[in-house]
Amino acid sequence: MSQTSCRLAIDVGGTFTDVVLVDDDSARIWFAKVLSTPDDPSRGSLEGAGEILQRTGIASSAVRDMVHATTVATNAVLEGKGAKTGMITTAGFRDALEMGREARYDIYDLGIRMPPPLVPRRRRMEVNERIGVDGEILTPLDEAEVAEVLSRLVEEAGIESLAICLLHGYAHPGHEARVAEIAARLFPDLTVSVSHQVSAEVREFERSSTTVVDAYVKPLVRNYVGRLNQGMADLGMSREVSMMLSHGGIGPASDVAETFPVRMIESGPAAGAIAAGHFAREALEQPDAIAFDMGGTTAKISVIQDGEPAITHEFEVGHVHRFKRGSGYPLQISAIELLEIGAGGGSIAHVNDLGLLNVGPKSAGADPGPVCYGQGGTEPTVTDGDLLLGYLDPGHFLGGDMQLDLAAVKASIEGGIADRLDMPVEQIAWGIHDVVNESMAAAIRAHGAEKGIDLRNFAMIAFGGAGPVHAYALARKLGLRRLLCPFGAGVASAIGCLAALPAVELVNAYFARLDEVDWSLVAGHYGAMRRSGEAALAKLIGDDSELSMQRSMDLRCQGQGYSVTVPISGGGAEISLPALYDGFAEIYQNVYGHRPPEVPLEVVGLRARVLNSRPKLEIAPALEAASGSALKGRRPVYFEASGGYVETAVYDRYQLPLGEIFRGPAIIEERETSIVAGPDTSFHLDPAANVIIDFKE
Amino acid sequence: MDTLDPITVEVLWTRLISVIDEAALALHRTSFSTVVRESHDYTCMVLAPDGQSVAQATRSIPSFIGTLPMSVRAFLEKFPAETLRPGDVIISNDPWIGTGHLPDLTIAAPIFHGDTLVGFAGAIAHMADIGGRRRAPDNKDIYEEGLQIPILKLYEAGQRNETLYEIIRQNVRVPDEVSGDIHAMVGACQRMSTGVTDLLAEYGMADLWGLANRIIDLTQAAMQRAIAQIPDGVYSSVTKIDSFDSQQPLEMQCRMEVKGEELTVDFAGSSPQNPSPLNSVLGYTQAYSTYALKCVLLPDVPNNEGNSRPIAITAPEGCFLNPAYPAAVEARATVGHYCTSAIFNTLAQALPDQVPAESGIPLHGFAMSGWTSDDRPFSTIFFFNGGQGARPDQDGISTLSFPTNVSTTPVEVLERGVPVRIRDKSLLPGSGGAGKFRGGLGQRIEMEITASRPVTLVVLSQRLNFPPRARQGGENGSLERILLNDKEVEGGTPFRLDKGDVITLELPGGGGFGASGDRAPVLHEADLMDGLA
Repeated sequence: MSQTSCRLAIDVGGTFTDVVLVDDDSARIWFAKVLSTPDDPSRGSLEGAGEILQRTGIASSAVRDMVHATTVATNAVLEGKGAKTGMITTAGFRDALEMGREARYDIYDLGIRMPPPLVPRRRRMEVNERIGVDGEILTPLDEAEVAEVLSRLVEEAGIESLAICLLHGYAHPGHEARVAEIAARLFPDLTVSVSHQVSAEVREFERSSTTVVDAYVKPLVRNYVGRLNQGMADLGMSREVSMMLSHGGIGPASDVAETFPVRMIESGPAAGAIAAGHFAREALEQPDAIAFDMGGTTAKISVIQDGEPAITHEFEVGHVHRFKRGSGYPLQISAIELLEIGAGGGSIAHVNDLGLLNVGPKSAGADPGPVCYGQGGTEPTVTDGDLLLGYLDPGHFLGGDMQLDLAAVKASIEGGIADRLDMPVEQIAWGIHDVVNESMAAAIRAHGAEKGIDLRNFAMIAFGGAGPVHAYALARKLGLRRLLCPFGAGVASAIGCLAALPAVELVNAYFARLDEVDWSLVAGHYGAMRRSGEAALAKLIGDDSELSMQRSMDLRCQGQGYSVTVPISGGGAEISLPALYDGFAEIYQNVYGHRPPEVPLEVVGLRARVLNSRPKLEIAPALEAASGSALKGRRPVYFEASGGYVETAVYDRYQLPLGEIFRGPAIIEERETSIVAGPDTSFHLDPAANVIIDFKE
Repeated sequence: MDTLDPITVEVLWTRLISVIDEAALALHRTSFSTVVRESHDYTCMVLAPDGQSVAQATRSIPSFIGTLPMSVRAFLEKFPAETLRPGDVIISNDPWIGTGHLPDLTIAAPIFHGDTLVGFAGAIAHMADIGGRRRAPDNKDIYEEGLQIPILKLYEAGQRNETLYEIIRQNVRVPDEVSGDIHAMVGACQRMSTGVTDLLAEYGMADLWGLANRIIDLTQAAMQRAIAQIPDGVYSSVTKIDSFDSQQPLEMQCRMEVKGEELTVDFAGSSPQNPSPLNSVLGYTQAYSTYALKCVLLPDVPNNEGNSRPIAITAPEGCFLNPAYPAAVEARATVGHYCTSAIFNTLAQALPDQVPAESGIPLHGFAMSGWTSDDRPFSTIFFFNGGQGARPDQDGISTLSFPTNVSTTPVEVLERGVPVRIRDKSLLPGSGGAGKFRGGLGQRIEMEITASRPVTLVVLSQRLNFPPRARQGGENGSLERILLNDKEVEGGTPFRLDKGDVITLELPGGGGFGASGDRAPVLHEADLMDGLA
């Protein structure tokens, strides 16, 4: 082990803080789990770091990097605990934040609710200034008025943070920058978020919303990162902490906190998707996969293509209606695209008004939890159904730490749903499993359709407590051929932190018909983007690193409202116009199933990703030599393909021999979950200790 | 499989909607028409072999729920089921058997499972253009409104009808965009067909009937139960709307009879059809009336034929809610949107604690044409929304689209494409009707013309005379106002505006719900602090 070959990752979740330490020289990896400390998540993080260093005996000076994923910013928005924030806008536009898009996210719900603006109208102030669409100054900035408005916001309204969002500021930032200067001069302690820095994209509502969320979480994130960095220094670590960003890159934590913390809003889930991308690259020949993480209350889906999670530029946080798009605060940031579905182990089954079996969205959560937990739950849940079907072992839940009450589950279904539907208990149990899977499959299919990909060629990577239990039947519904249950799924987000590449995503609003583009101007934009990306990365990994820039353009048919992001091949200054036309036609055909009509194309944005391709993460799990028999026993398990219960082999995941091919049906038990493999599958353990399940042809 | 159990029905129903949603998403993203994109003014649907609707796309607006089944029934009259072949696609834009105006194309393709006709895949979308004098308030009949496409085969056994195709292309201003949209619709139908036959194969079903009947019957029963909760009786209301002639408002007479599990609505006594495009064909009147009833009575059940079975909606032929051919009908949306008001105003008498106050409907906005500053011709339309009516348990939401669902165009985007400058776009304090719960606020838009040559501007206006109504002792929402260079004017006729002219719209807020004396002090104080009261 060289002196500085170790890297540390810490992922703060709602219940547990996961810590992973990897030695890049030997590829050895260690895990730790400690309880999270929601009042100050940095405490749990430092405890976890201390614990793993102590346990492994590795000196803190040997740790080269520490990468961190946290929900601290999201939680501030969800719980309304951000800073008291004010806003300065162009005269006539202070209500843009509240008026929004003026559309409904549910067309039948007359009782629809919208998220309240994070800055109420009383703290949104207007100043006289106006810049035109081409940058012409129509009304000069009234600087005296700016000073007056600022003192009212700070001294009378008591704001701690300020968002500045002026009309057309995305392209013509002069006035915004001047307002920020005046604020910094008059009130140096105020944190300030300026729209053209946070999100230089057209659309005043979405940009305001992004800037306001940024301002709202900034003071909190800054304090948090300060405590974390100090704590790590006290542990003896020399490098500063890096932060996992929403788009799957990493950046210096203090830099993220000082500039625009909104970029780390989906830190934890992004890390999970990055881990899935890593597993796909390592274990699959063609690394296309659906990452499926099903927990107690929700399931999260992300799509991995060519080993990379899909990135979205339309993101929302703080949904009023948790699973309805349009009910949250829109953010114009690059983020890993995650589909969240209201289906988890705790989702409650019930008979709806039409007399049909429904599952969710109501959840028993962790308290009282499913009926089988025996903690007061009376309504049957997805986990209860899974238990009845034989997928879970009542005596081996959480490695045997918790006994599950099968009789109570039967009684709860017999007395309720079975009576109402006049069907046997076992069929109801299968119904619960099937209905929840079908609704997840529907969401995944719609997601695929929106992205225009044929998911049948994808594998599925299953995580979470309920993921491996449901993945087999879900994959079967979706027509997938291969399932992957990774080693280290329990700490996937922390693994993702280590697999992430240092990267910066940049976007520049640029509008022109493709045949009228000013290419020297475009080259200038890309040059500026490269410089700003390199500067940001230099702070993270030093300025002697090998950096590359991937360029792309958002193109669309003139007249359409949705654009397609087309990569520009090669790194040279020359951009080939025919290649752009061809690239557009090809992507369009893939996405929508037909060729684009013969109309002029227009450019609506320039994108760049500056990244460093440092050595990839390699993990050699410290597998204990299989000391006993992998076969633990047999029990009856329900499979649709078999038409009911069949006597099924139960294996211990930790005793599976490498490479040997087993035939389904089987249950493969591990500490936190069970893997279900149906009668139409075979499975094996791969060299990285992943369980791979293949459907028979 | 004889009867499907309640679990299989749920699973297959979810699957069927998922198949349609997939097709609809692809249609949405590839469309050229902004109305499709911004207002979801399109639909995809799977219908039974006799034209009953079985399941519809989740996100599209529901005004087509009644019209697509009606179209397919008319298609079947002209092309009987036994004459249809795989690869056929039927098309029409006849307002009277379709969606009420010419820009919407309705297409349907038979779905074959083996040799059996198992249903239809249908799609409707609003085209970017259909010829004619677009949005002209003085169009007197349908011949002025554009190209009429009778019921014809667009594809015959997979072969495109090139004659029809060329006629369509020649008669629209943007042929590439229109044919692109048609292309996308046909693609959506193919996708639905494949999805349905895959589903039938997977579950070993010979046809859709078993599933279709269960879905429709269950929904019908749920709607009947909801109607049974309404006290029996006869309820009626009069709702007035502005016409293009301010002296001659149009009247909607709405009489609702509830008897047990059945509900009938009759619009007898409403104004006669008029020589302007403010006429709504019966199918469209029925669609929006049914939508309003569904929002109050059964919002959670997916849309299908079962919703409308216990409901009968009639209007005598020759009134503006059931005009006779060849009436002009392009502005049928304005009329149709008010059908939701007529239903709410009537139903509120039966269910006073469940029906919200009126919203600042319908759509408001500008249709504008002329030359940009660099001398390119432009023609565009953009919308702004009034406030939502107060609900029985909460304030109305400010600036919210209803009953359609149209996003507003961002100012930064608008100013890039159209020679205007928006000087103000703000909530309009005091516009929401006071009450225990306040109506959502309308907005004020101040727009300056920056084009160097004069532009033609039509204000899509309403509610200059009839404010959004309150409920239960609340106060009405505000009226709309139009100002040209600070002087109040009427809409109705097109304006010719020069550089520097400023047109201002003040849009109505929603009506209030309950007496304002009952308003919680904390809500009142918040309104005062935020300058909204």
